[in-house]
Amino acid sequence: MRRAACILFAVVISATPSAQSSPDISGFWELSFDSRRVPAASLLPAVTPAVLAKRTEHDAHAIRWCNFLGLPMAMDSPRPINIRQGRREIVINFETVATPRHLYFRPSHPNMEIFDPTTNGDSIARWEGDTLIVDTIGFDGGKGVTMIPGGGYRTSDSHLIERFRLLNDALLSVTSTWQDAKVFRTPHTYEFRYVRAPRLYEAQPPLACNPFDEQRAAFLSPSATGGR
Amino acid sequence: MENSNCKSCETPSNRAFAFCILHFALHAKPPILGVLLLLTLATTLAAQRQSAAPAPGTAAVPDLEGGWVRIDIDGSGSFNGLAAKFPRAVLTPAAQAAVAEQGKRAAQPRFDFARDPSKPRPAGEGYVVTDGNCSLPGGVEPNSAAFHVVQSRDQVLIVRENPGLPRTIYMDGRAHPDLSRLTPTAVGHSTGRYDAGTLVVETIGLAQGNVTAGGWRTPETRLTERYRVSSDGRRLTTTYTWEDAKIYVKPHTYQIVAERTPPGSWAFESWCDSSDPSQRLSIVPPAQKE
Amino acid sequence: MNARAPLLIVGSLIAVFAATTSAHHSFAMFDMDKDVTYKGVVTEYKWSNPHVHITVEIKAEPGVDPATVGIWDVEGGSQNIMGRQGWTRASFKPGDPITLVGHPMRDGSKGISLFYVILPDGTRMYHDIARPKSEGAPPKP
Repeated sequence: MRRAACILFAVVISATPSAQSSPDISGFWELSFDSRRVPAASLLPAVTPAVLAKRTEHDAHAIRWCNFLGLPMAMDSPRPINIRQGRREIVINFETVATPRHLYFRPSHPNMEIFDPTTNGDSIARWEGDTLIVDTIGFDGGKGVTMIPGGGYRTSDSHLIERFRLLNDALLSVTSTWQDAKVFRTPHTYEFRYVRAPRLYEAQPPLACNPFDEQRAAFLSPSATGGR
Repeated sequence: MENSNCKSCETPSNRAFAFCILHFALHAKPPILGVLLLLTLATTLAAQRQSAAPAPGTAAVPDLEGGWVRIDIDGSGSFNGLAAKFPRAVLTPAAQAAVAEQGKRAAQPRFDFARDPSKPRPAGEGYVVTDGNCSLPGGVEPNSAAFHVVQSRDQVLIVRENPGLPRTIYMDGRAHPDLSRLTPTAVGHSTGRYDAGTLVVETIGLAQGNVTAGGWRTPETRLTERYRVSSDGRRLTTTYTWEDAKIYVKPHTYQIVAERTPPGSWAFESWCDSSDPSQRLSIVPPAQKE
Repeated sequence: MNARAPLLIVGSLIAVFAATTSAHHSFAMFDMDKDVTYKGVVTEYKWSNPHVHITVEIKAEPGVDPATVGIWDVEGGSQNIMGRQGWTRASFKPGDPITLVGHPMRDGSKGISLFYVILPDGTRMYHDIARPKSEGAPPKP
């Protein structure tokens, strides 16, 4: 009888579909002062100080004119990011000047002949055990803030692979690996660890960014000397 | 019941508790007690597996996930005419005055081309039609851009392909905050629930302004939306109902229909750069050949 | 004045501010009640934001409405709005013939607000979600 009961037990359990067979990373996640582990990138010799200075100038323009930030800067926001995991995609929304990211659970990227490159690129995702692997291409190297933590910058040829993994219910590790034959000597990897925001946290409107605010423009001007 | 050592009974987790019960059940005397315990454990665990939010696409929960584009079911002739056939709002006198005042402000010509249409621009000189600011407040209704819905366990998120605030719909049973603690925005504060295959969303805290088909709203106005997907999954019909005793003589209701984007499509980015002079321009009359 | 009033005032200001800083423009400069057909050749196709622009040259030929002869700037919607109606950056290129229906400028300058193009197979590609008044998709249950 015990054997029959065990079999019955097993049948009842296994016949019931599980509501969630992969982890759920939905939530509001934020970075703290100690959330980043970023080594120095190994850059190609062609990435000279002059090249980096031009990139810095480009990014300063994007910030000054409130352009969409794009990756990687959107993921390094001072505000919580909102990750919502559905069945076919994950959307990551930002409380800053950045368009939402869409991470599609599909096997391939769209035809790049007709894909308009963006500041976030095109992302496809899959689960490998408890790790979400996200593969992104299709960046527009001329838009948004392109500098990458640790050195280097995003171009239209950049390839980003991210690994999202819940270390526990309150800690989300995101490891980013950038590859770009024009920029990096070797793939450049760094890790951010996001802390889950309090359960009743509510999404806030982004901080205002007015490109026509003259005081703000003066503050951001390269010739600004600081002070009151 | 035989008293057995059960080390796992000391651990607080559900899994350990289940193993504890299993252990007692397998060693229980009489055996029938063990059978009953096993059956109870099995059904309890089964219920827990299903107690997460029901999956979208069931009878209880519509499958809203993905991209949608509003469609013009009435044949409006132009974007400005999309709401022409919607039933007009029936307003209180005070609300009528507010709408009229807003209409006067909106009618003020902001750019010089609109002030004197008798003077066409020469070739190469563009018509300046905006101030070039890229930010848009967003809103509760779709415009011509696609919008994307993702349904997670305790939140439904709607993001547009135009710049603007997302719609964050809290599904965890929380109440709206008191209005005194809300900053009104173009999307307000939304809570939602599933009701027999329909997503029902309640919103307050919207910034004061116009509502489609002659309506008006303040942060106290309540908007109820009902999202329903057609049986083939390709059409989404949203019914909007505005209620506010200070504004509406009766609830103001209309519907907007959207179609699902094709499988395999992706979200677009609506790039904008305020530093680009062309951001302000509409038509630039071309030079003509002699 | 109760505690809620300052928030309502702020909310009103937000609504007004949002209206005056919107990047969207009205169509008042076009005669939206006129649907005119233009047949010509693409000389430039700018797949850009805030509007896609097509420069179209229409030559005086037998069968061509003299009122449409000239070089026109045809304004479409934004890339993402037109993209949802089937447009891509490869939809047209210089030298392509084009037949379009649009709304001319009220002041007589050579500008057109695009309604739709008619493709060689007779199908239409609209610039946004609006459809002609005689049409409209029947609602499904």
